[in-house]
Amino acid sequence: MGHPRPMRRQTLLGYALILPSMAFFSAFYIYPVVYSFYLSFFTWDMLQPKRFIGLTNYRELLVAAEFQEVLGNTLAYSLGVVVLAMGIGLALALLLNNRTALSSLFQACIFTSYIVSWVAVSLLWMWMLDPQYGLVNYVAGFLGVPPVDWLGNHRLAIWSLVGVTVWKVIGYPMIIFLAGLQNISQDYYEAASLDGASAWQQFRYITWPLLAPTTVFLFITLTIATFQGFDIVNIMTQGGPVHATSIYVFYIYEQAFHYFRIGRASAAVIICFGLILALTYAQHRLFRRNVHYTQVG
Amino acid sequence: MTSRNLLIRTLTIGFLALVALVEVFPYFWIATTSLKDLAGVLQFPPSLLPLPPHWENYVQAWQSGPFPRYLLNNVITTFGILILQLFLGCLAAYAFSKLEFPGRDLCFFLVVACLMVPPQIRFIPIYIMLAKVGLLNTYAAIILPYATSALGTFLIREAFNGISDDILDAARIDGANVLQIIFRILVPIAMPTIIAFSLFSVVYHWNDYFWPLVMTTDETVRTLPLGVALLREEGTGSRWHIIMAGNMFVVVPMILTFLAAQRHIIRAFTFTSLK
Amino acid sequence: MRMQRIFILVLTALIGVGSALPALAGEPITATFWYSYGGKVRQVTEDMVKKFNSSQTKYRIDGSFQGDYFQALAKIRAAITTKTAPTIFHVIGEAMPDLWQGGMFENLEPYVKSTGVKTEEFVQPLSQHGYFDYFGKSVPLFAIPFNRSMPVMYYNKDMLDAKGVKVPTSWDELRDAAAKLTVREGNDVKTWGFEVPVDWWFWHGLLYQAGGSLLSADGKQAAFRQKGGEALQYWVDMVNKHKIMKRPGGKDYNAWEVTNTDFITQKAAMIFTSTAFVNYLTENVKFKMGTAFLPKKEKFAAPTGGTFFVMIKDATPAQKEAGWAFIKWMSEPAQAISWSQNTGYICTSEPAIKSAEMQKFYQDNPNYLVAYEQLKYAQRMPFTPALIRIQREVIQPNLEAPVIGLKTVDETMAAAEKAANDILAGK
Repeated sequence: MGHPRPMRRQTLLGYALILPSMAFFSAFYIYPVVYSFYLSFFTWDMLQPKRFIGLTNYRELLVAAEFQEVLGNTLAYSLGVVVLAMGIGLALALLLNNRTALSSLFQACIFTSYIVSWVAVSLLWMWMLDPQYGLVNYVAGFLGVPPVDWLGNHRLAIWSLVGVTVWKVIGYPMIIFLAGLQNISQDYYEAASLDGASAWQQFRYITWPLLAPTTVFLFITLTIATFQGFDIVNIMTQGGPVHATSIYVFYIYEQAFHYFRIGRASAAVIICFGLILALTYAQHRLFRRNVHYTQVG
Repeated sequence: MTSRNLLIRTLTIGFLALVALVEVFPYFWIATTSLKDLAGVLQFPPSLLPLPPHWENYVQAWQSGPFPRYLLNNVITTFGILILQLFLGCLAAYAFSKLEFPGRDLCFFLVVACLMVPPQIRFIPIYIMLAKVGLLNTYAAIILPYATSALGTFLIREAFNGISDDILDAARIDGANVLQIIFRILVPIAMPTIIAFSLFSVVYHWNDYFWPLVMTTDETVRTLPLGVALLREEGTGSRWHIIMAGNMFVVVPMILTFLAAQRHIIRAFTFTSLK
Repeated sequence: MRMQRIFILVLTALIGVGSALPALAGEPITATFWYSYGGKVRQVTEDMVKKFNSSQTKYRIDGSFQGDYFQALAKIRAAITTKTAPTIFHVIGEAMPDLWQGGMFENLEPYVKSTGVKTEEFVQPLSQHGYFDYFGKSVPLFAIPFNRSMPVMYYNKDMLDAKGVKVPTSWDELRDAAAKLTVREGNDVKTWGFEVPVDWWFWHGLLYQAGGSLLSADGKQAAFRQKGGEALQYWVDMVNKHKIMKRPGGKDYNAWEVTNTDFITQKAAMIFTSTAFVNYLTENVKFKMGTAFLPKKEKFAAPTGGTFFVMIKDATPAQKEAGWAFIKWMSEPAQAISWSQNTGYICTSEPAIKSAEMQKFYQDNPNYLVAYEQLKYAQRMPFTPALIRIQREVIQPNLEAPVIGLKTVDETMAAAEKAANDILAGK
């Protein structure tokens, strides 16, 4: 550390810098959560006066098979998307990590799906996955596969949504990994080649560790994004068949907007909130130990 | 090149071409559907090319609502949000990363907690709050609740964390003030992260349907995704061709912007920091 | 001192006159109308709003789209708590008792009296008093029919003729007809005999066709378990045992869309869906299409659907005056005719239906008439705040499970009965 700064000036400066942000966060994020916490002890439909019911909402939720299914679905969806998107994204980035025109073309093609809205994409995929005349079953037919009810089979539906989501977001991890790869100095690879390292060894001992910050970045971004997944469910399956694709945000939306059970929706928010905070804390402690940063300078 | 290498090469290119095709084909589909008539849309097996092309679908979609205004509003809200997120995010990230003050970690923890609060939960209390101060149905209602981004703040802080303090000290000795340190020194080095986050934010807010819907009560500040939703008619096999034409209005500006910005984005990404 | 007092008096008088001036000068009183339609129905709605505005200068209505039905209702509730609610909007019948009890709606009887609207001219099963069973309670008029519909059976006449199948009029006949009309190619079903969204609305029809009813005669207990089970079992068997009915995927309106599309593309020979789509289907089918009553079991029966105009109690008197003017205008025969012809919803005005214009229209388009004629078999909904919860929480989400084989019909109906009784008891 260099030149020490007076403690009080740092404090004042620190608060000044975070004040606008904290004000907005408080008003627009924290306050709604606190309000939800308050509402979770009531039953309210936004029309009649609130009725205090204590912990009833929590009790009902925690024993409800549907809520447990929702948590399971959300976990499956999130894990499925994150693992597949990062895995395939990395593979694509490795394959496209050169400056040829063909690569640029492929990159551009793959990235376009990320840019478009969920609404357009969901409608389209609903068609494509139609068991009777969707394009996917049409093509599958040529490969000798019998028609599958992609969105109507209650065991398959959530994985179909995982597939569509991966299809849509894959451009993002690809681009981010490409950036990460291009930031690794070629010197490392040249030295390793001279030492006789194979492609796999180069990946395992050079690429993978040096990609760690990128990987963490993507893991966090994608996990958060999938955890807030809503549009795809709202448009394609509305949580069906029979809750098979009901995930966290959709479930809350359904309770609040379709059933006007604001209290229960709020309790669900608080429960999930608590779960994620616990998970994040655990993840935070885990990652602190395993990440190598390439320090600048 | 050995024949084995050639085989691998060909397979790789074939695989990549397949992926690219699968990724891009649905767009092609949206574009061609937008030029069919309803009979063509409902046809099975579907025809690949719309012949003859029905350009009037675009006219019909365009006239179904104030699309020029939607487009303008989309630009204002998306980039208004981005600018605020980046500005406030960088300020806060600097404080969280480089300064020490009591309560710093608690505040940062609160910021991280905000990551898990989706808009469907924030809607009702914020609606009531904004209605009370008369800000409903204004740009402020769409922009302000997103003026700060927990994700952005978090990621930029991580990026700043990775920058050594020596540079900062050198700058301070040279007499740089806080804003200069943040925006002239730290930001350029953290540019890849900032670009990556900006991509995420722009795509999300450009396509956002829910928030502009619930915060507005008429067309004054509404955005493109709402315009497209207007085309949809619940229950009918709908007029897909018109809806897809509407979707093109949402998609094309984004694609054009990204094509134009692509070079800059890639350059910013591959910025190799000072060694 | 005296000058000051005179000055203040004059100023007050001027302000008083000034605020009355807009009304005197002819600036229209405005009111907002929130609706949940997109597509063609929205266009027709907006056209009629424009027509109303240009037909007179006293009032102006501003219509605006507020998302789908659920989003709109959520916004309205939030808006009411902040006094930014619209003046009029439209609401499905099943939601009305709950919202009425919550104090959301303005009592419309004073308006009816003061503007001389003849409510007996409404097609009675489509009006509020004809839609509900009040169980002897006295409930004032607070809703005026807007877009009202009934489920009907649409059939592909060409397909039926080709196979020599008569239009079914009973459950058994429907099952037999569907079996004859289903076309298989190996494992693939090329044409389904029958398709219907697995939805509360159609289930309600089947419940009453089987001779059952939703609630007991005093409206306090669920009564649908046995006959509702029969209705559900009928579907379950057609889908899984006989394999002649397609269960359209998706919930809510997705399933309706699939059903309509399948019918147009000739993947389904007979469907149940709303008369609201008669316009859409007529324009797009490339075969001879017929409509018929929903088949009976013990009797013919069908619910009515669609929405009613309602007025928010919290609006200002001026706004309510404007809102009522619009509602009244929309209900007049000329508008009722225009609305019905352009959208396919049932015409709500008896004089309009009897008019020469409509009579000729029905002659030229017999498919539009079937719903109106089926009205004599319309079933009333119980007027209880529990109704919307019974529909959305108890019945609608649970119909699917037996059809896809996750639960038995008995399990489903037993659980539904208990849940409904809990809600009726106020839990």
